[in-house]
Amino acid sequence: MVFSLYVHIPFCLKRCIYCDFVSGIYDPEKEGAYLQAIKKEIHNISYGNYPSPIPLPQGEGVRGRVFSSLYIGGGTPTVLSADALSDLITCIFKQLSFVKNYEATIEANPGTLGKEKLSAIFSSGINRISIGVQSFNDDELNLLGRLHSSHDAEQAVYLARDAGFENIGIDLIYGIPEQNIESWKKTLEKAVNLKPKHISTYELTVEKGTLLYEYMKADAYATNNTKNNNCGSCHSRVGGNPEQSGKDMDSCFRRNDGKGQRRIFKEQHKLIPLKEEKIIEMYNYAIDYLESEGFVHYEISNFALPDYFCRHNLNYWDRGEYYGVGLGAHYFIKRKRFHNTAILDDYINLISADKSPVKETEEITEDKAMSEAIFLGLRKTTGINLKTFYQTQGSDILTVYHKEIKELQEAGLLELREDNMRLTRKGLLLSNEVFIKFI
Amino acid sequence: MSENNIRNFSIIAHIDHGKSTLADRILELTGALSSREMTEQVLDSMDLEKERGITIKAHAVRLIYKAIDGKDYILNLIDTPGHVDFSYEVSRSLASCEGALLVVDATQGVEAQTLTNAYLASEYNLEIIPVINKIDLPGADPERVKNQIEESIGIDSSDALLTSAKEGIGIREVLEAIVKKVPPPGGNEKNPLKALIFDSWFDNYQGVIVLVRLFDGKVKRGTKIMLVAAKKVFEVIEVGIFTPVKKPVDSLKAGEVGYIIAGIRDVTNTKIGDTITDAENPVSEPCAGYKDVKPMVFCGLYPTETNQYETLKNALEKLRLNDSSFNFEPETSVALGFGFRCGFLGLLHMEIVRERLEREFGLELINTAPTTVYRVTKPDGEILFIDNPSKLPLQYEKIEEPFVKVTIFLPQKYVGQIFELCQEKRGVQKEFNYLGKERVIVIYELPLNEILWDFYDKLKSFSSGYASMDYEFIGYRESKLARLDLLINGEIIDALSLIVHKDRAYDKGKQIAEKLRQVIPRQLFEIVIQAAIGNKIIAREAIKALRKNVLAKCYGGDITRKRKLLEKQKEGKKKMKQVGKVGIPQEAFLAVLKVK
Repeated sequence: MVFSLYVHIPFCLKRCIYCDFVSGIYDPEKEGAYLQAIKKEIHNISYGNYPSPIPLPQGEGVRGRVFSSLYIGGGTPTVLSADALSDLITCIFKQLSFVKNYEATIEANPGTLGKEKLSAIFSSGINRISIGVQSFNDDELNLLGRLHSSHDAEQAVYLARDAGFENIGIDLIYGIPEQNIESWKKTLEKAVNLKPKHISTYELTVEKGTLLYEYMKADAYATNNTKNNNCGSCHSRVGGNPEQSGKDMDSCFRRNDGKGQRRIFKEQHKLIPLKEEKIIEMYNYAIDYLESEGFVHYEISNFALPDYFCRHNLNYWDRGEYYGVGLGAHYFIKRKRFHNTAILDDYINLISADKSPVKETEEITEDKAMSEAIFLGLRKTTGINLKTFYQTQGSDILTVYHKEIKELQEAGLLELREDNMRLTRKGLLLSNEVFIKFI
Repeated sequence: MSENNIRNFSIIAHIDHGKSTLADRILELTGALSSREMTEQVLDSMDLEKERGITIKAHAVRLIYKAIDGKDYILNLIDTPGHVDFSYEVSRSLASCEGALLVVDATQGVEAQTLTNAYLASEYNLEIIPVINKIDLPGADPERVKNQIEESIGIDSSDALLTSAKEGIGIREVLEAIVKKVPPPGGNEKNPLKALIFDSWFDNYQGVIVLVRLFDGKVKRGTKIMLVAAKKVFEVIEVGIFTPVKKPVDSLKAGEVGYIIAGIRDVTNTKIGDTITDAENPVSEPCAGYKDVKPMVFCGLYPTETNQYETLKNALEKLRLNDSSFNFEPETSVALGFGFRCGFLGLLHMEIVRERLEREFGLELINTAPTTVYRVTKPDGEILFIDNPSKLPLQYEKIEEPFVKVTIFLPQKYVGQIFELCQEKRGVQKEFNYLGKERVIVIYELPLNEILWDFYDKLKSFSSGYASMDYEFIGYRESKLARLDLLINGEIIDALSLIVHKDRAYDKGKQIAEKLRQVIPRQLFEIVIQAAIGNKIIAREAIKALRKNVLAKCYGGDITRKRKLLEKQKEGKKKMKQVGKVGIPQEAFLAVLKVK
């Protein structure tokens, strides 16, 4: 069974307008304390100093178990210095065991990569890099609030390769306001020409609490220029009280839940969402084009050359176990899902006080497990193998969901081929409509 | 204690003028409850009543008050429902009293309900004691309010009492005024038993509990009583009073107020307004004013999930145990399946019942647009009462609809908008009077159908909240009406049919079709909405098929978030009613009301 480790680095140089991940602006003063805490959490896992409520016996660490994948994500892990990164990575590999042909990925922002840093990362044992390119159109990058240019992104790929990375992935975003199909085609073409092993194409999602969400609302604009007296260029401020801004840095690390946060906008024209037809055209184009270039469309948003599927992410879809380390990190162990606190100071304080950083625990009942297995499994284009499903879940999916499956087949969203049940092309775009039938 | 020491009184007021708070203070001061025991507003015992700030059910409390003259008095406080939907119940409560405290907010002044309640109280010759409440508020203007009371109601308010129930100011003066001004009840316990029912409810252990005011005679355990209108005989098991704690007593006598338990299983036998007498020595003339109140407003109630039909039926039966003014009959809708056509006294009553069904019985319901009852004369002279628009026959001689007289109170500067609103609602102005320099009373006659939904809200919003209204039924009148049908993918959705004025039908059809397009979410196929009168399609709208609903991102292993999102979507769909293949949300069934 695949066993994974996720490590979260919640810092960014600048917050992108669409981002609602657990992340805040990089603060050199917090960096040391945070890395210290992460390393301690890794040590705890290794030696079994489990702060409750992790359901493993005390003292029984994971030293005996072998991880098959590591994923360092963020935020922007590469905002850390070369030394800090290699120190952290070295610590991970020293404390925990990995299989021989492990997959170890780091997420990277093209604006934060240099030759030295990439070499340090590679030589510490990371063998896969996922570069957040998002677009090869500078206007689009600018609109998204990215700090880098398309040229930087291109250079980042070359630098990574020079540093020794063979397994390079590129993340792209489509459905950006004002984007047209031609520009998307160019971005894809450029990405392919850089010969990555993996391409993710994510539709731009508008989440509440993000700047993007505000920009899309009609009347929300103030014309004040941002006073960056609180947290870099993140523009977020708690309670709208400027006096508090200094000590409220932490609030930027909470997930933006749309409550309690008020934003002051730079002058910004209203963003108009792309028409649905255009987004669908972009998605379909990406599938056709990338497949014609030899990429396998293996998950709703992911493409890879054969043998280069992201094993770490596949483990999520396959409901394998994983540990999470760091701020807001999620773990799935022994039929329970957990996540750590998403407040930076709380995390650091809890870890240093030998207390559990876990904020919430969720028991995955049999019903939940079955629905998860379906909505996660169907994300993969190969779909769900009915025999495997029967073995792991103990139920025959065709019997339990006979009516739903028939309806979805008739609607052309789901297809059954031999022992597999999978989404059709139409079904991929309507996957939520399919999934809710199994919830 | 002799009956000379008894005082039976009610408190009447416009909503939010402080009736319940005053009642609480009176309870506190007479020691019925210590302030520690006081839960906020004891008399409003139903949660819903508290939340809505209104009193739905009448209650009666016996209080002992030691007056300044040194004597002990029995004060029976009979609470009244505070909403026009329950005006008959109010009238029965008032008929059980000799006096009433007319509470008026010192900042708001006289409002529509103040007036209708005061008129009602004078109809029963009650001694009305004006109480100007909330004098502690900055905007209080007792002098102005006194003038208003004199001008509008015509009662002397020179010695009106000034109180702040919230702050406990002037409460003793109120009690003294009750003792001095409200006459003792009179009546003779040697006469045959004559008791007026002013409330009743069902108790799981004891059956129906009836609240009565005895005008003559005496009742005790073992008395064989007869309910005059219901023509039923029962044997009394227990009589007693509320202090407000329920307390059995040996007997109830002429002039007193209390409860009777007689093994009655069904509140339909104990209709409010009926007379209880001694079966062996019946009274020759029952209490005047008995009316079998009829529901005025009807709607269909359907479970969103068909398997909840039985649960709904049981729930309706349970609620009916306590509320004889509401009725229901099974009905079948092509679109919605099996459900019930329910009749209510008014809109608020409807909302309360619906909310209780959802809250107390965990039901998810679809309710169709409320409608009034139409009187239809068929070509052969047969008369039909139509409480469901889809049942309106295509051929008929004439159609009549219920009209109401609406009394509106408002500051003079808003009359323009209100006139416009009433005109739009097919109203005819009957009276227009000034009350002081700034306030105006206007009386309109309107079809009940037109004031059913948003009339009150509009009235409030056009007048920045200053207008108040009250209405009463005045009879059926002929109108030019037609049935408007709505079709979804070619099928008539019977639950969406409505009866509209012919001159407005075309416009309404268009607006409703458009509104439906807005509220019905996109689905996996195209949805065509049409409005039709008879066979003629008068409007068409289309909802394009949904083509994309996908989660792109991978949230670093946060599967819970994904599942929650899906659960939320699923929940949204569950709330919709499946009509054929199309999921229709509750808003759609009320959309018909949200157009001009």
